[in-house]
This record gives sequence, structure tokens and C-alpha cells, in this order.
Amino acid sequence: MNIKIKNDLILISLILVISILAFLVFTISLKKGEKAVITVNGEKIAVLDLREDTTQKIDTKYGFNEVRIENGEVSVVSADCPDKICVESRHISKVGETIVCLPHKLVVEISEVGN
Amino acid sequence: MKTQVKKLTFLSVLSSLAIILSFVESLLPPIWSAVPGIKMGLPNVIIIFLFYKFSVKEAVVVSFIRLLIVGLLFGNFMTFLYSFAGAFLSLGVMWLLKSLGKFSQVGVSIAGAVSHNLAQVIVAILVLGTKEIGFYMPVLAVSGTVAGIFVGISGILLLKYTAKYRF
Repeated sequence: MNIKIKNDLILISLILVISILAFLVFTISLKKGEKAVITVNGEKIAVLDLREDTTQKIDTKYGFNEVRIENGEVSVVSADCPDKICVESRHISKVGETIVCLPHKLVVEISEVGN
Repeated sequence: MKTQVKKLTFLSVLSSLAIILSFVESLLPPIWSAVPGIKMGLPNVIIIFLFYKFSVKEAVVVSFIRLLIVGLLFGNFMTFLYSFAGAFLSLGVMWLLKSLGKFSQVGVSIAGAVSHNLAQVIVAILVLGTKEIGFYMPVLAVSGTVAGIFVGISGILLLKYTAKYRF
């Protein structure tokens, strides 16, 4: 193989490796959240502090969800929606992460102080 | 004197061509809707052609004429800033790689495309103040590589077919 083409391939591999590393660095440096903002149909229903372990029941005309804060992580522990995607979602704790219950128009989003 | 005029005319025509390619590219539908603003880099075929047919100087001059006019005609200060940063870094990187002499035209073109995207991401992070845009980087690295290959090959073909014209 031509040496220049070989160098090109090395270059491409380097680019890919570096961008994957950069991606990992970004993922790890995501900020830890301070509060969970719960909105239903766009309306802010509750704001929970991530430092306090609590269980918040959200009961609206769209449905029922139970949001729990435990060890600085937020999760939906129960809901009466048909697909239960919200319940099966991963626990979230970083700024910007969300758990969504579409049938109930519920969004739980991690945000930082001041928002 | 005659060669100078000939060269000047040729470069002017190429500058117009680069501007037209920019415009045409902006009319095409987005290739990847997940990342708005992602482009194929058609005008860079001309830039890489100039890089190898002439030298860095000509590529830089035509590049900046294109940016200036496209920015004035079709864009605003923000788009000009992004393009300027992209061109600045990519021309620098390409010049460096070409001077080393260890990479083919396609390799240089790939490096140019990827560094162009990198510069734009960096400007976006500085301007918008959020790190999250960095998530686009792997995507842009891949699309930059693909675009670089395409532009590089086109450039090689262009050089081949114009080989007998001298300035």
C-alpha cells in the first residue's frame, strides 16, 4: 500500500479515536444536578431538592406518577400509564437529563440552582 | 505581465465559482437533520485544488474573498464568524500537513474538513457558553472525514484534468 495512503488511514483512525475520547470526557463532566423540576403539559407542578430523599405523588387529570428522590438520584417508581416507559427509565441525576411520561404529559428534568 | 493577468482572471473566476458553490450548497436540503447546519463542503473542492495547483497563498486569498462575499450577501456576522474560524483552522492544518509531505491530497482534505468542523464547534461553545455542543464532535468528525474524502477525490480529478494548463 502506498505510504501516503497508509498515513491517511492512520490519520483517520486517530481522528476517530480522539473524538470518541472527547465524547467520553464530555459525558463524564456533566454537572450533577441540584433539583428536579416536574412539569405536566408544560406547567411547573413541583420542584424537588435532590439532596432530600422524598417521594412525590403527581396526580393530574392525565394520570398518576410517583417520583422518588433517593441518594441524589431521581426515578419514577410507579405510574398508571399503559407503557410504563417512565418507570423503566434509568435513574437521572445530571443537569439536563430527563424522564418523560408521554401519556401523562409529564417531564421530570434535572436543573441547577437559579433555573 | 500577461501571465499575471491570466492568473488574476483565473483566480477571480474561481472565487466566483466558490461563492456560487456556497450558495448552491445552502439550497440543498440538510443531509442529516439531527445536526442542523452540517454541510458537504462543496466550495472546498476549489480550495484544495488551489492548494495543490498553486500554493497556500492562493487558497487563502480565494477562501477569504468567498467568506467575505458570502457573509455580506447571504449571512450575518455570526455565520461569518463561524466560517472564518473554520477556514482559519482548516487552512492552517492543511498547510501544515501538506508541508510535512507525508499525506495524500485526500488525507489533507480530511484533516481540513475535520478541523473546520472542530473550529466551528469551539466557536459555538464559546459563543453559547455550554459544553453540551461538544457532543456533536464525534458526529462531525465522521461527517468531516466523509466530506474530506469526497472533496479530496474531486480535487484530485480536477487537478488531473487541468494538468496541462499552466500559469
